Amino acid sequence: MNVLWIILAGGAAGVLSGLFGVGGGAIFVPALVLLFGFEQTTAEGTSLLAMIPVAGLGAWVQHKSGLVQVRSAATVGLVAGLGVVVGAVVANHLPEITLRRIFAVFLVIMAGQLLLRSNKTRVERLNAESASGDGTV
Amino acid sequence: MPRVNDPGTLRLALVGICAGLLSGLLGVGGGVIIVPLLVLWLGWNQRSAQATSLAAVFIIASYGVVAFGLHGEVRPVTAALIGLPALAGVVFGTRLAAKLHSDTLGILFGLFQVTVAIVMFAG
Repeated sequence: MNVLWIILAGGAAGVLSGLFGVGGGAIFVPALVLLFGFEQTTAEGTSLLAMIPVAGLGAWVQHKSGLVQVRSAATVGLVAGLGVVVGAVVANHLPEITLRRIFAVFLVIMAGQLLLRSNKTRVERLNAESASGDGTV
Repeated sequence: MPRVNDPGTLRLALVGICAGLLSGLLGVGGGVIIVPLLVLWLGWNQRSAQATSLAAVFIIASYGVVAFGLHGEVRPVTAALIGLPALAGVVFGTRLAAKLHSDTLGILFGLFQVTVAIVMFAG
């Protein structure tokens, strides 16, 4: 039964990955902990392996649409290697819950800015569309 | 090659550092931080930010697998079990994203980000 749920969770993680450009770890990790009783670190390691082909396929599909800035992606990805090492060292010295909460606050601040900006663009677009009498996409 | 003194490249490097930190600290891919930073710091549109994030996550997750694999914390069979249905999902998800306006995607992403933050905060 848990296998069925894990397959469903995988499918859902994939949809989120394609829809939002993320790896899917936000679903993979809790699914592995809750459904398979994995320890947090094993769930994270397994999630990272699962997301490699998912992110690769998603990036490829988007690349065919000309949406991937390849050089920028390489810059972000390669420099991230430094961050990973620093993060792993820090993670050994600070309680995980503290780290999670710091990042959670950071994420909420960014989400607020993103929501405001996207909403402004959306309102402008809708106004422009109604002004031109063109309601089509 | 990108020039190091190019402010765009410097900002991209900062985005990379942030994503790597998040990944190294919490064992995730970093997409949830790459996308908003590309939009807010570099002024990208949501759609390109998301597409480029996926490519960066592909690289970042690879580091993670090596690091976690060295500690024996990667289960390949389970990864396949959860990853294969995700492959079908990601194709569907990218098609869905292509049908939405960039600003609609931005709003949905913001809501997704808040959800992730709540789960992360609760631990």
